[in-house]
Amino acid sequence: MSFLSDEDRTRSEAFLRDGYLIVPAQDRQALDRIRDFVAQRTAAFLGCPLPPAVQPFLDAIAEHVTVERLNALRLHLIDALLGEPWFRQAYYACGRGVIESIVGNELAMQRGIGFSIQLPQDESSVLPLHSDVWSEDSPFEVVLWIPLVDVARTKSMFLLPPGPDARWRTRMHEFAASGVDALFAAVEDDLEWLGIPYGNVLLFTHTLMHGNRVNREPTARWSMNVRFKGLFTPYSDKQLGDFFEPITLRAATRIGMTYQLPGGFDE
Amino acid sequence: MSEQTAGYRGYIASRPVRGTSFPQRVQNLVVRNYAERRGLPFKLSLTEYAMPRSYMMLATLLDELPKLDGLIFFSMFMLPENRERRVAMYERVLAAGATLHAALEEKVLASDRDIASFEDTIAVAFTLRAAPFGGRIEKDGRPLQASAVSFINLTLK
Repeated sequence: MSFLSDEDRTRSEAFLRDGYLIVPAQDRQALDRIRDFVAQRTAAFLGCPLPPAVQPFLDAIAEHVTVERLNALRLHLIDALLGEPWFRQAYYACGRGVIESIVGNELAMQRGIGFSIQLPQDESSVLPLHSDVWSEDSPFEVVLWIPLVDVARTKSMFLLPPGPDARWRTRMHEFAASGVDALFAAVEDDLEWLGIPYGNVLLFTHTLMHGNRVNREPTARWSMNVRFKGLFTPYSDKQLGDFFEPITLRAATRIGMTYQLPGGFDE
Repeated sequence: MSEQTAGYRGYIASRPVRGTSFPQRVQNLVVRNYAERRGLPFKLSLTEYAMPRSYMMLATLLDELPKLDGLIFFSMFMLPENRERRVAMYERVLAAGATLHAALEEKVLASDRDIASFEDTIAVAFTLRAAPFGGRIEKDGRPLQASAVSFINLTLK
């Protein structure tokens, strides 16, 4: 039995079938605010003027920054974003409805942020094939992945769809000696590269194998990622407190957590 | 840092923190690194006793508050489990004009407004013990549900 709304049911079926959803940002103003802030801080960090058209500036950032300075810029932007009191709420607002459809409405949100800038032909920003659950993450988490530019093909990320992922997972031990590159070569034909125009967000389950390759497109990829999970679903090594924090604690939970039965009875 | 004796005193554990035993050397590294990154003048840590429910070292620290800028706990989960005791501690820290830092969680309690953030996280973490699977997934290779079907392949019924 399921009392899911039609919208939730449709989204859930697609998520279980494909492992992801791509939907328009629920709060477009919030997304634009994040992108514009990133562009402003990038221009200031690099000491170059910020042109009126933000997306071409971000796309062509390789004209202004070297691979050697890229990580310093990335860390600078992470600090700047997390230092803004509006940022995390704005990020959540971009995917609120779809997160609630897939996860629920009493949520824990990652306190930090993943931020990626992948310049064309940069071999230092490759993220090898992996599932986050193979390290510190819980399979109950989902990732809200937001590009700040149009992304597609090698400028985006790849995902192994649920069917092939389940099949290859059972065979993963066969690659114990040959390693991840051999596994990637084996699964490569099954991978799906996600095309996401700016203005849309991606929600995916990081139980599926995913990653990126060298960006062979002419422009740079800019993307952010943050994890969400049900507040009371099982955690792994990324725990509540150091990694996650409650963001939508509900009244009934507050009552339940503090309720004390009447006492003082004797035998 | 208004007076020469001010600074931030570390506070580390001899008991497991949320079920995990962290070597004290590692706890000290986390606390010292936290202080360095924020430019907080660091004073050596006090180590809480191992006996369950002992907060004697914490009581000593609280007495020292008038001579400190603040406290740096290794983790917010070293705070007393009893809520009233925790809240009384927050109030004492704030009344002394000091701040309370949790290095592992990178959280700061600097005003009344910060208490809710500390308390929400601690309350939910304690409540998770009563949640399914104790609120924790063990990666022992078996799926959480009884059958061998991965949850990702469940169909909507």
